[in-house]
Amino acid sequence: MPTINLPIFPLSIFLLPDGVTRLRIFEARYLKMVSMAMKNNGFVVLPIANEEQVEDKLTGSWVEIINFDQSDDGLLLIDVRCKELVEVKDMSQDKDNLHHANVSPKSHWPEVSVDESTNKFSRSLNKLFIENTELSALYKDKHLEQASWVVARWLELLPVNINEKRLFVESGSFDAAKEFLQGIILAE
Amino acid sequence: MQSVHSELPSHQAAVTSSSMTNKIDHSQLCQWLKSIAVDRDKQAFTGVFKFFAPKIQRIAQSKLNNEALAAEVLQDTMSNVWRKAHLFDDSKGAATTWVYTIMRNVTFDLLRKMKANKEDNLSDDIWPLAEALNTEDDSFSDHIQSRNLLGVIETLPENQQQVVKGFYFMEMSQEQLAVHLNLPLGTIKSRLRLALGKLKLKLGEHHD
Repeated sequence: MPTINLPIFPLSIFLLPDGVTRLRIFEARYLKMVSMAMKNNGFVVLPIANEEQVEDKLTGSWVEIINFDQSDDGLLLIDVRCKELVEVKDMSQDKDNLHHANVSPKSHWPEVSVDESTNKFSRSLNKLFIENTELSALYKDKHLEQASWVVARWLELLPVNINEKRLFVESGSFDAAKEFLQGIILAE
Repeated sequence: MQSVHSELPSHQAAVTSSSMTNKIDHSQLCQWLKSIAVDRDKQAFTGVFKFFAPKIQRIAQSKLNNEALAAEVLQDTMSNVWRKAHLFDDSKGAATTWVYTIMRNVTFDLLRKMKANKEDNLSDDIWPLAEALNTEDDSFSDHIQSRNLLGVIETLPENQQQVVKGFYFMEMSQEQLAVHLNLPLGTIKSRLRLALGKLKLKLGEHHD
């Protein structure tokens, strides 16, 4: 597996491939990170593992900056899109307290088209986009026809602890994710 | 913080000292500022940002002796540059002088605001809320480096507290999910609990 060295943004958000989120950048070391990311290859959002998980391999979301703006109070806003998940190792900290690590790509779910049950998730997600313009604006391309895309977006949005969500970074977890979502969105 | 106050007026001289002007492409900076003013050109702003950010950060850091406050000075300064680029007139002075003057004013405003906030005696009520939503974040204990800084953060309005934490909460609340699915909150809570229980059971089967 080829590895690449990238800056690390330690932040407990759950972001699967193609997921987009908006970050507000404030600290000096992360402004530096953004400037590096714009010149080079993006950065890695790495949720902080709790103590039980220290033994596990760390998985982060390798993101690219797709848009930037300023908030009304003058802070730098960036929209980032997850390119792929990565395994993170050999973390180090530079003189500005910015973390860097060697990362290698990690495969996630294969692309799956919507079927009868996932079509309901897709319609429900579409309704959410219509109701929430801020969320909708983040996604120029909404792949509502792809079950894998729809399920991933739902998992990101659900009010569930990130430590539980993280089970779904595994490549073989699509069916479990679908079942999990059915229990919440479609239960009779 | 008041002790810093008295030292500040002297820093403008250092900022515009000739040692910094040797290798500056002034016409490029002017061009960028015009593109920002006329076309709202983000690329040009990136250029200006990249040029000034490290310098402003370094100067503010040395004057305020606080990384987070220096970052705020940087953000406010660059935001003013973006908003006020149309006011820049290259016949009246260099782009660097204009930007550093903005920076000086921003720094004074910030110190004034902090002084005023100190007397407001704000309660801790808002802070634990943001904290509870995001406890995992604290594993990196250097994120907030000292109690002193924490004190400053506590006096910030809520939206700026989120800024310190670095992101928007994109995740839905249980209430939002209940409204979206048109179900009572209690149903959502029990569905989440059940689904998580099943998930753990399933994983237990695989792992044991």
